[in-house]
Amino acid sequence: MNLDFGIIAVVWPALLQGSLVTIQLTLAVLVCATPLAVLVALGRDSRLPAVRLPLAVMSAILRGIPPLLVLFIVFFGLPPAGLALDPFPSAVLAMTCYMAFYFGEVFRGGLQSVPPDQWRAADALGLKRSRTVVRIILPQTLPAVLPPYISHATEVLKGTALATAVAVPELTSAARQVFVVTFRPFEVLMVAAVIYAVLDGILLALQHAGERWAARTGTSTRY
Amino acid sequence: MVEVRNLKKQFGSLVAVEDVSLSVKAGEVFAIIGASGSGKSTILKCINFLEPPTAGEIWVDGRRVGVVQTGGRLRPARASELRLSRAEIGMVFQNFNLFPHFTALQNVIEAPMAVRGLSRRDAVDLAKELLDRVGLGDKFDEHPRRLSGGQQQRVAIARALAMRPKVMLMDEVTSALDPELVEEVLGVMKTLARDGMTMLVVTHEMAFARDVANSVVFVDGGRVVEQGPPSELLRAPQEARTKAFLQRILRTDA
Repeated sequence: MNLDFGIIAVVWPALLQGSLVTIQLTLAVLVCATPLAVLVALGRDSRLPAVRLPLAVMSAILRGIPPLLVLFIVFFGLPPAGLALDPFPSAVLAMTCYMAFYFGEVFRGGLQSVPPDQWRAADALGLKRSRTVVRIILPQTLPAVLPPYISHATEVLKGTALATAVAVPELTSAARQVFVVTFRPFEVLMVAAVIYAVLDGILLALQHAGERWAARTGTSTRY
Repeated sequence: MVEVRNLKKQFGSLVAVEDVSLSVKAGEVFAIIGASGSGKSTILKCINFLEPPTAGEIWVDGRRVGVVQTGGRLRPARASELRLSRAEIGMVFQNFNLFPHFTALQNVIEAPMAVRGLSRRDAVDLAKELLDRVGLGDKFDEHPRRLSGGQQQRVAIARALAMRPKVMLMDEVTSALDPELVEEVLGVMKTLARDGMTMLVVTHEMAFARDVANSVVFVDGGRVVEQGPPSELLRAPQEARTKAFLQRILRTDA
């Protein structure tokens, strides 16, 4: 095979543009899904069946169907129901719904890893529930939550490629458009793969930074 | 200062506390003794409603805890009302329960800032003063993991004191400590007692009960068996169960 990576000099603006969309989409989904996931996690173990049961059903359903189908439901299914969104917000909404429940399970495990006495100590001081969750409990879930969180975040990053199906111009979509006109699929797709790998690496670096923080403060050791 | 009237606490079908009434005056140190599983810790947890009582009344500083009267009718306190009551009641736990991701100072300033609305600077001043008072003036920035059990428990006492509570509940605060660390925590408690802090102390430390408490109550099977000043109850118990308990615990002490 006659490889010519010189093509990159021509196509890099398109790939860069696609990368930026991929990064924006990933961040948007993480920013929307993470707080929702905390609420899902708290709700899944709520004392109130009216909160707990619907969430259990939704969690089972949403985690059991293909993400592409969720995306199609949002993009093609909702407009007749009166909600017509552009491709990018459609992708954010679909992946947020989906990931809120995946991340929800992650946080749920994390919350269960914190000794119940920590809640009691906060209660005894008169702290509000919301403050207890944000300041006292969630930071302590970090060691348990971080590895699965980052691995799911990597799934989000990879999953953004599905948005090409509703014409979001993210990296995979950009790479395809570029190789179709340049007839250099291998080189272009290899470069796209390297870009994904670099972005994955950034997520992993975040994980290590978080683990260092947990080790430094001693959050990771029970006493 | 603290009135417990006909307290009952039931977990499912298990009755942990039955018909317990206690009266603690301001500035008094009130020791609760008894075997493990006798319900003495549950009594403390009912006072600040960490365990809501099944029946009975709790009064702290003239206010009913956990129940609010509106227009002649009684209703359970809302979470926000319960928080206000708890802010007035300090609690120290057997296992310290410090927040591990916070330094000693951060542990102490969190609640005064969040609940009392203190500015960060005022909270830090207060926390430093209190940590100084419990002998940890050089440990402000240490995380709990780096502190000994006795030091952690003293931070926990400072954390509770930072809310300027009207009463302190001490739940077996020396039971998880290595023997050589017990004294430093008891020392802090003695200072508190001398300064006039009202305290309910669940303890196995008979010497502390004898030397510091104004009143001792012996609990067995969730009920008050005997109550009186330490000089009488510990030296000349009237009830057979109290005698048996004291003999057992003094033998293991020696």
